Amino acid sequence: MNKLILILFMGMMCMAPFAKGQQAIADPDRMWTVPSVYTMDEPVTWNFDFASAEQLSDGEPLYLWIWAPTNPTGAPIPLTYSGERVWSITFTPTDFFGMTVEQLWANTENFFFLLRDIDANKLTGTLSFPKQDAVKSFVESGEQFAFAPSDFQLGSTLSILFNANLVPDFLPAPASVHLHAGLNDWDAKQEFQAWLPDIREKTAFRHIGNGIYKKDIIPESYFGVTDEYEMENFVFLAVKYNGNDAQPDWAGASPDFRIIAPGVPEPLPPALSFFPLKISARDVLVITRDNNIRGQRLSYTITGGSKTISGNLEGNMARQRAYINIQKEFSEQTIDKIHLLIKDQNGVAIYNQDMPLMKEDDLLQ
Amino acid sequence: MRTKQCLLWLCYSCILWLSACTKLDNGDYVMPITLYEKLQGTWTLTDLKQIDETAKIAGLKPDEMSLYNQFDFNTLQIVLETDDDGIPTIYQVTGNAPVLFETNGFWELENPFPMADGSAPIIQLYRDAEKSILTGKLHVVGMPGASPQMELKLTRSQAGVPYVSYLYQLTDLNLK
Repeated sequence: MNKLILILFMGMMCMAPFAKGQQAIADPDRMWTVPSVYTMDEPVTWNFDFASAEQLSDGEPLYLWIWAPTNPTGAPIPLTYSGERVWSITFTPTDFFGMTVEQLWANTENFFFLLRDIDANKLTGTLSFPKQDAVKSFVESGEQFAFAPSDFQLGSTLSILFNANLVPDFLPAPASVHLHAGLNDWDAKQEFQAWLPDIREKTAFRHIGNGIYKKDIIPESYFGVTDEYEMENFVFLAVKYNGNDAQPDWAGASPDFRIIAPGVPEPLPPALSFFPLKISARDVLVITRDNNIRGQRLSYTITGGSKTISGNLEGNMARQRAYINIQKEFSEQTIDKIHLLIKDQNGVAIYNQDMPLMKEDDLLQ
Repeated sequence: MRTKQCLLWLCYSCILWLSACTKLDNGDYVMPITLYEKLQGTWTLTDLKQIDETAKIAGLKPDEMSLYNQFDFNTLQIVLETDDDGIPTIYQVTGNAPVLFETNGFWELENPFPMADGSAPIIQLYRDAEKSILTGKLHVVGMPGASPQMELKLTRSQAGVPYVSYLYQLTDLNLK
């Protein structure tokens, strides 16, 4: 009997380290920041999705334990439960860590931390977020704009960076810079309506210094579309406000930019073709343009000698076409070329060139 | 009796004289069978293909395109007339289609018999009845046979190099 008690006791002693030991929490299924691109002096939310961690029950208190760049309080910092097994924390890095932007960048390349319960009975392994200086790499990329994340969705944050230094004559901007944007080639849009103060506020970029501007939007709410809207692309330009609230107006704009939504195949480039390749003044000509931009309507103007004719290309986005009876329009004149001008509904010239007309061999030869 | 014999002789010589008026068919005077028999008629367009000869040689696509549903080509008819002896006379193009060759004039074949080498016979189009002003050439690339289908090809060339052709596919609705 005593022997049995001894064995049980020894068994319990052996088990003790395990009972007292820490339980590992499986790493989050997904970690992301909102906004995707953030500066060290703006609020950011870190999100942790523990969809499949068995060690955590829904909504149980969870804490951040961070040591790089520093541990700001020396105590675990509570996360907020956002539902759907997602925990998050929102803070502004400079305030949170009590460090300047420069100090933060001079520190480690990553934020290193783990997540745990209050007593550290269960905890994750070491986790990190890269402290990637997206703005710095954007400036170094030499691009006029950039966006993040690459897999942006209709209902989540899209960050847009704009480098006004690289757009000729854009700077200096007299006042704020605004986003004039739309989805699916302006199917849904939020224009920069300079005369509306609330729209000025809604569309304003944040100047993060040295001519670099940033804007975070959630496309679904920003453009007021439903969650079933099929986003194919995001089009936008940066517009300068004249700063004159009495006579509000645009004071200049960047070129148009276009981002293809994730998962949407890159559209084929527009292709203009003439059939046949060579014609005489006694032939008919077929003008075709494939892979047009949404909403694009094309028209042609043909000048030969003293006569000019014009008309529209018929069709849809995939293909627009015009059949032109050159013989009827131009065979009465002796001309050796015609001039073709093809433009869209905004007056943008697609084609603006001469087409030489072929001669015909003498039939007796 | 003598008178009766005289009368018989007279009748016989009359018959002989009259019989000289009938032409004996010994084969010498039959009109030769020519292609005109097959070609003459009223031809209605069933398709028109524009062929880009430049693209075809370069191996580019498309190299042909149907224009049948454009420019009122579906109203086009070609009438090729011959006289009672089967000699070609006038031709006429009707309908509202683009005028790719002169719409009326006179026609004949470059060679009225099938070519020994099998090449396409050529219809020559003239402005005048004397056939001195040549205005166009149509290659008969599909000869009507058991079915009344014909294909005519109009080709334009510069310096001997073709750049565009039109292939007329036609049918004779008045079945022969």
